Amino acid sequence: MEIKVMKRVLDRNQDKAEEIRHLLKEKNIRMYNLISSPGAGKTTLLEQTCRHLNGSLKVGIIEGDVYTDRDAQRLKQYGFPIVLINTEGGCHLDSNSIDGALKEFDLDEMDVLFVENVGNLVCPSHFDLGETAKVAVVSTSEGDDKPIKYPMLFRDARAVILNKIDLLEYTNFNYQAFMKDLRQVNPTVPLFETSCTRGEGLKGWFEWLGEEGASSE
Amino acid sequence: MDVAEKENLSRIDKVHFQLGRMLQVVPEMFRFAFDAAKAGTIAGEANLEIEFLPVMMTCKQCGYEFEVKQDEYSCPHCNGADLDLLQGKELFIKSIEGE
Repeated sequence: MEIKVMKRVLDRNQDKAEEIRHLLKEKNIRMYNLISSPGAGKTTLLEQTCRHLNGSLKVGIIEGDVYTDRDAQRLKQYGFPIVLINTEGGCHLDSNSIDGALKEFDLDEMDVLFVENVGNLVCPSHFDLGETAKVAVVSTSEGDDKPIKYPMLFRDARAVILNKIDLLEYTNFNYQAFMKDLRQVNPTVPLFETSCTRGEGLKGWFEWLGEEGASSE
Repeated sequence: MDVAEKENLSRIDKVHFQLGRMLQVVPEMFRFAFDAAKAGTIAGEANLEIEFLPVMMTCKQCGYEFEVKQDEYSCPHCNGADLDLLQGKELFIKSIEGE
C-alpha cells in the first residue's frame, strides 16, 4: 500500500523559522544571518560593524560556535548583548536554537540582530533561521570558485562580501573568474569588497545596512 | 513514522524522497544516511527511492518558466535576472509503502 505523505523533512525547522520571522517583523528587528567558510572574516566584519554602529543602532549578536566562546569574547568589548550558541560539533545553527537565543534578549530594545553562523558554506544555507536576509562572506584566500560550488548560498544571499581583498596579490584568486561565476549564479546581488582587518571597503556595506533599515520601516 | 503509525503500518517497505537539485545532495551519501537511520525501526528493510527535481525558475520580467542548467541563473528568453524559484529546494518525503 502506497501512502502519500508530501512532508517536508525539515518542516519543524521551517515552521519555527516562520514564527521567528513573524516575531521579528512585529518587533521591527532586522536579522542578518552571516554565512561563510571558517576563517573568512565573519567575526572581524562584525567587529568593524559593531564599531561603526555603536551609538546609532541597538545591536544584538547571536554567536554560533562549535565549541568555544572565543568569537563571543572578541565581540564583548563593543558592549552589545551577545548570546552564544555552542553547537557541540554541529555544523550549522537551526531555528530552534535561534528561538532559544532570542529569549535572552530584550527585543523591545533591539534594531538589528547579527547571527554569526558556524563556519560552513553548505548546511547553514539549508536551515532557515527566520532571518531577514542571508549575507555570504567569502575571502580571497579561499579561492575564486565558491559561488559556483555553493550556488544555493550565493543565490539566496541578499549581499555578498568579498573579504581579504588586501591579500589579493598574494593569492591565486582569479577576480574575473569569481565575478563571472558570481554573476552567473546571482546577477544582481550587491557585492562589497573589503579588508575587515584593515577596515577598508566597508563603506558600501554600512550604507547597505542603512538602506536596508530605511526600506524596512 | 508518524504517518506509518496513523495508517497502522507494521512495516515500511519503501520510502520515496523528492530532492531538489539545488540542495546538491549526493545520492550515495543520502542512501548511507538513510540506511543508518532506518536500522532497528519498522523501516529496517525499506528501500529508498530518490527522485531528483530540476531547478525551475520563472522570470519576473517576461514570465518565462525554465530549467536552470549549469548554474545559469538568468532567463534564456529575455536575459532577465530577476527570477522566482519554482522548484529546486525540495526535501520531501513524497510517499511511503508498507503493510
